[in-house]
Amino acid sequence: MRDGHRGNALLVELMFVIFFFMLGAMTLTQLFGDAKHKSLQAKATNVSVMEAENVADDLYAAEDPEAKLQELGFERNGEGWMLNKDGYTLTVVRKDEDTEAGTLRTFVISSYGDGKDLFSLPSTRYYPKEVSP
Amino acid sequence: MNKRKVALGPGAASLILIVVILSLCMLAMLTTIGSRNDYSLASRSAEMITRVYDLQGQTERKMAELDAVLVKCQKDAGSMEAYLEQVGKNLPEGMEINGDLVSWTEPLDNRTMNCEVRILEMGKLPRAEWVNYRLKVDEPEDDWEW
Repeated sequence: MRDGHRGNALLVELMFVIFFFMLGAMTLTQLFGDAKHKSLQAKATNVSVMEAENVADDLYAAEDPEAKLQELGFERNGEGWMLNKDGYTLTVVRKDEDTEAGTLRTFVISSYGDGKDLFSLPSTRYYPKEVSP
Repeated sequence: MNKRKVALGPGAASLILIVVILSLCMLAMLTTIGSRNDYSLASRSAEMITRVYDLQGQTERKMAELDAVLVKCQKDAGSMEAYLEQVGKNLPEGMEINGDLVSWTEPLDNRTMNCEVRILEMGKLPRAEWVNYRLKVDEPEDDWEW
């Protein structure tokens, strides 16, 4: 009779232990998941910022920026250009602004990774033009 | 031969649970702190690089302002000397002229972009060219103390 009570108590305790283990596991899984997302975003930011810097410098120096973007592996996407890489996507949008004596050409290079906008980098260059006196 | 009976006493399972959950909590905490620090460092680095490129865009904008002044001054000037004198009088705010060199600085926190442009001969395109385009970092000495 006493052994039976003990067995029941043990079973009840085990049920509680399993219940609390499940609760703990659920919370901890979320924490580990969040940590993994943050790590992925950090990695994507680190790698894509270097890639974006290279693209920005190449576009600054390029005489034909569209040919340069194609050479770098970008594909046309609406009004801009897009490059899919492992863990992130780079997009390039061109904006031209006329000034009194020339044109300011700006390429905005944006990075998107793990469901989040990571950063946007502008690459601006001024091109003077002939102005009639 | 004696047979040992392994019995799980009351409370043992709870103790094991506490140890396991505590260990997992520690691991989760360390992982979260590590990943947040990585992300914070990466974000700050990306932000600083973005600001430097913004600054570079700002210098190009200043170059456009200067070029507009050069166009205006070319219309009235008959000689190179008169042209440079006119440019000196009409320079945008923050710029200085020394001979045919125009210089200015663009500040950003503890960084400064030193810009220097040479004014080229009248009637030619481009009207000015970059001579110096350097980002100087003024690192306070305290930053190197650990």
